[in-house]
Amino acid sequence: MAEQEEKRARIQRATHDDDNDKRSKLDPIPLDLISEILSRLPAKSLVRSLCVSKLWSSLTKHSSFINSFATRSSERPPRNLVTFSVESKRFVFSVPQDRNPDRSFSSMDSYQMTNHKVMRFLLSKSVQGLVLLTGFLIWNPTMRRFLNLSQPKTRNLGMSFLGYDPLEGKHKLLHVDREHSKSAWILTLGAQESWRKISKDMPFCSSFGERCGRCFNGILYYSACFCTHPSGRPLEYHIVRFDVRSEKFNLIKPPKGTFALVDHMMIPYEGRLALVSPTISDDNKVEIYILQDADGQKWTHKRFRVPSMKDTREGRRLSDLRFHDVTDAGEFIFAPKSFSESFYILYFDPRRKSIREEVWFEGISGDEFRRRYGLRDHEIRDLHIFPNHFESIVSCL
Amino acid sequence: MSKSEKKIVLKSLDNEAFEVEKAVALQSQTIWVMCEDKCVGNEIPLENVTGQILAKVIDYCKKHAVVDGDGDESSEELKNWDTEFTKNMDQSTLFNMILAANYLNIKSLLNLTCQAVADKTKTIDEFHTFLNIENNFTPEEEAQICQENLWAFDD
Repeated sequence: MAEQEEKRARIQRATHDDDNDKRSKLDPIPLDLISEILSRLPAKSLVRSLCVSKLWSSLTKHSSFINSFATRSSERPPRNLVTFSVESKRFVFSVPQDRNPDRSFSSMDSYQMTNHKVMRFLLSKSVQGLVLLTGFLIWNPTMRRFLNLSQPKTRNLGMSFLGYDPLEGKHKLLHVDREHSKSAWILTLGAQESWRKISKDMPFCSSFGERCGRCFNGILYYSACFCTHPSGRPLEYHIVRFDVRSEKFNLIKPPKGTFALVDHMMIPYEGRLALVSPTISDDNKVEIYILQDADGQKWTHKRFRVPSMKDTREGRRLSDLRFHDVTDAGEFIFAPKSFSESFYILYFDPRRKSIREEVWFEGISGDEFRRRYGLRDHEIRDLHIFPNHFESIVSCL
Repeated sequence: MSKSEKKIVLKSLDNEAFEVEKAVALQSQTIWVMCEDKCVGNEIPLENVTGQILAKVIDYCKKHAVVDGDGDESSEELKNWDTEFTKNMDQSTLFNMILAANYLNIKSLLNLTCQAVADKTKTIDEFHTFLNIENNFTPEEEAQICQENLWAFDD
């Protein structure tokens, strides 16, 4: 508490003690140029700037400003957002994605949260800077803010997905009932509206596949099992394609027989939807199916051979890795399924058939890492890696 | 094209004249439009920019101009040059550069100078003095905003 008092006092001093300052006689800068400057600030400085004046504070709430801030952020060198939980804390790291030669912690921005809200499950990837958590909660990791959303008026069990329409610059939440195959609910973020019920023409859906949907280029994909026969059998696994802007649904037929690929992860691959095997096979291969047309009539199948890791200390094996995601540059990201003494991220570039490892900590540096962040010997759980994460200030200021 | 046609004279607010290659000056959209439009002779008056600032703008444009195959500077080198260029500029120079880049409509220079100010502005104090802006929050309002965003004042 005393710490907070001190901090507040510092803020007060900083904002009110500048009267006797030798302020130079500059003309005020035009507002559009102020906006140019503010949109180039890191999120932390931007939040500080909110205290500067009413004008600025309102300026940063404009959608045009929010968009230009997002654009600037995407122009910076790409960063991974890495988050995991240890006991009742969630750790959030922002790390450069490109080769990090000094392997130090200095290039990492990090913070930890003990808020019970962050201990909920993550239901989405980072969708344009926002993450959906269970219980209709939106998390903005950049602004360290949460947005509690209302619930749709349905009593049925269902699943929620977060999508983004890049044309209008709007996030939308889609809630699909398991039992009501003819309707779905939509909530547009920041639109001051409540849940809308829309109709969809879908077969009866009995369960959902991969928990996180996947949204890119304005299309949200999720997988589900459907009953297409009146008898209720057999169940069929399909991918649902939801156009976030037009709010239309389509079913895409998966490449292989029912359920064969239900554990595969959906990713964008060269702008198309692809399904990737979650692990590397014993013969060091990653399997990928790439959708060639929007209807799902044609998929191509590829198997990439992952080169062996040079460093096989501590029994590092490719088969111990789990696929996480793909970077905008097309590198596949793998991380160990479980880790305690060492942690590293493996990037595999399927075009160049090359790998690079970014070691976070191992051996002694692992101890230092754990001490530094107070992890002690606790298990690290619920790891998520979001490549090309960019800073968004949407709906949180 | 004769040699003189490739040159252009820019005249600052305080009547300082600079003779520069056309290719250098035309990075400014404003000058480009003036030349297309109603360029009287070869002299262009720039009523919003002082000679001191204009000299710097021209330095920048010379470095960034692609003149007859002379533009083979690597992008890495250019980036370093840009960093050095703004590094030691004081506040008022930087602001005048922003205003000049805006008036002359040189996108990359506007980008560079705005980023330089953003990089130099971190504390609230700096926001006030650097951007010369009045605080019109009541102390209560301000305390509330700060309270809601305590993490941002964390170092």
